[in-house]
Amino acid sequence: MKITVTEQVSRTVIVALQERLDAFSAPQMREQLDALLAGGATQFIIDLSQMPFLDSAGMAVLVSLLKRARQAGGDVQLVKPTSGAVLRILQLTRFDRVFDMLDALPAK
Amino acid sequence: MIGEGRKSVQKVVIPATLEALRQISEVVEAYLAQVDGIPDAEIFTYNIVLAVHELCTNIVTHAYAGEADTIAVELWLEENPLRLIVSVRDNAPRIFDEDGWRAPNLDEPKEHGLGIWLIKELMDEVNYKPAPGNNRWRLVKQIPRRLEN
Repeated sequence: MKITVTEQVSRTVIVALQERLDAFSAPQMREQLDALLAGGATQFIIDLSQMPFLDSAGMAVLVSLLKRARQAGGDVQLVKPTSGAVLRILQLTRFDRVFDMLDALPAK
Repeated sequence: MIGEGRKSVQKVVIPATLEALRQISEVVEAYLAQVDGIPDAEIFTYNIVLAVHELCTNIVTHAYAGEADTIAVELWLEENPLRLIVSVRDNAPRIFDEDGWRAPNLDEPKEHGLGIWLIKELMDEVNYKPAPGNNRWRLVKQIPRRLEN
């Protein structure tokens, strides 16, 4: 019996954001994510668990990443912020429905 | 504790740069920290900070569009019912096209248009008086009080 075994290994990039992501810091963040996309990454986990402040410019960076990752056949998951205030804004803007939300980082 | 009426006016003037906006967030946060008895104070304060930050970001990015100038923010409380008033002034030559603004489709998020929507969602009133060189915004939020036992 002839069988073919193929193994696919997909890489997931985990990006932990621990400082405020706002209009001032967003361009720098976008640049770093662009570099990861250019390097072939398509699966992302953005860890927002320690995120203290996220504005619409920061959310735009996440939306841009989501679109480009999905175009490349990948996806973006968000780890829920510990801050109830930040989480509430993600719910208000329906980011919790647009993105796949994780309670915590997956175990290694 | 901030007292009754409109006597606790706090004013801050900052350079119209994205880097300087954090100062306004700190001032708003410190101001609200003096108001006793706000239920869910952390979330309430965060929402106000975010709304004011979004407005000022819009002014820096769109109204001034890189020109060096200032933004003036004033905060005060009014009674019956207790509410926070935030007045924001800029000297920008451009005005915000309020009539042309449309609410974003949240199910298909785009990279722009969320800032003004957030301000409108988070505040009770958003009033805008456009005047090139003297644009004025007035944001109002009623402050709920924790019921005393």
